Amino acid sequence: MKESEAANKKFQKELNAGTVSLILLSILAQADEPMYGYQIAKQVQARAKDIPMIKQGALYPVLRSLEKSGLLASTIEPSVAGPPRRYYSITKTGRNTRSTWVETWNRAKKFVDSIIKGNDYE
Amino acid sequence: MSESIASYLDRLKALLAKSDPAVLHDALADAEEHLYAALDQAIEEQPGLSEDAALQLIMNEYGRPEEVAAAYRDFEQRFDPASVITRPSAKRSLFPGFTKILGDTRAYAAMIYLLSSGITGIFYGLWFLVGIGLSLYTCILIIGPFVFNLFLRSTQAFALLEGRIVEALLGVRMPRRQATCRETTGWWQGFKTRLTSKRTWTVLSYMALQLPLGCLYLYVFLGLTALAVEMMAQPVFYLFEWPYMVINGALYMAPAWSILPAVLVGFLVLVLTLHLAGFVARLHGAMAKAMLVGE
Repeated sequence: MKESEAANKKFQKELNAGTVSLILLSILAQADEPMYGYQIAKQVQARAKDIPMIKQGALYPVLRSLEKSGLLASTIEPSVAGPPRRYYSITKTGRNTRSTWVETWNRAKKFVDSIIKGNDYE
Repeated sequence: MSESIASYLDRLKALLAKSDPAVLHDALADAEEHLYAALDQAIEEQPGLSEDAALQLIMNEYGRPEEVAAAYRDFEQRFDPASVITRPSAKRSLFPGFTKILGDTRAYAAMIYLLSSGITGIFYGLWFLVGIGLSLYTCILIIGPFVFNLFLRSTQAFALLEGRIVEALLGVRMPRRQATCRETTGWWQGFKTRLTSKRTWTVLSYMALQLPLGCLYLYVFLGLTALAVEMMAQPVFYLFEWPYMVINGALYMAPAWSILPAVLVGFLVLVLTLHLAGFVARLHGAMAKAMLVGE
């Protein structure tokens, strides 16, 4: 029982690692204004409901890597309550990349579904 | 600073001690920003909740320091942000052996840095002198420490800016954000922390050093580049019958036989200058990292 639980956990972790960039890009693509790390993490958590998502602390290095690749842009704004906050927004390249990733994701999803059901992938 | 946030950050710091200091810096800034934002939100939503209880939940969601440290290490290995400047590829270059540097973008980036440091160096140096001067001058007044504190804060911003330039042109990983110094216990505590931090003094020394160093770099590398260009342009000088030297009103023309050797020597000077720029840039990058990045 324990073994299958560990395997399940590992599977979920790998799935999360593969999709987290698409998730973050999509959240920022749907946002009306730039968001800071905590807001993004909160939204990921709220929408994941009971799916065990990636730890919030692990989202930050992904945000940084997306920014470094030019898919996100960021500005630092002072905050009343604590240290300055880094606000992220999606760039034009980010939007284009996201559209391509969505297509890739849809194809992959369809393919996996067809395998699971035992159908042929058209 | 909240006790538990401070100890969380300390643990994260210890775990990333062996990582690149700039990664550590980013990880701490991210964690601090998140934990305070989350705590603020939690207290607003549930005023009855104790700070410790709220932080327990928040830190659980953020991840244990071990998990967070692992995420940053993992990301840094997969994706080296300082590698934006392309490393020379293993495939055969247009320029063989010793002259390969002519096709190396890093050498040109280093050259741009060294030449522009003449200008930024003067700026840093002047700011340093003005800041120190004003602080000493106002020492006799009660606002002296305030002025000095303000000046020290401004140097941290300069350190961040210089770090960004160094990373972009010299390819040395530097912090992306300013170290936050929380002053929950008032400015005096912050001032004292700043005075006792080794980094404050190394940043100040760096700013002061940049003035002579920047001028030296500009002088040496502009001179060498000009020499190389002038020698390589000898055929043009000859074609238009321009003198290559004017002494006491007498024009000196280069004899025809000297043109080819001059072009060759000019080329050699150019290649050597690029090698020297690469070498000096590596030294300077290491120095900037040691002096500008700290706790």
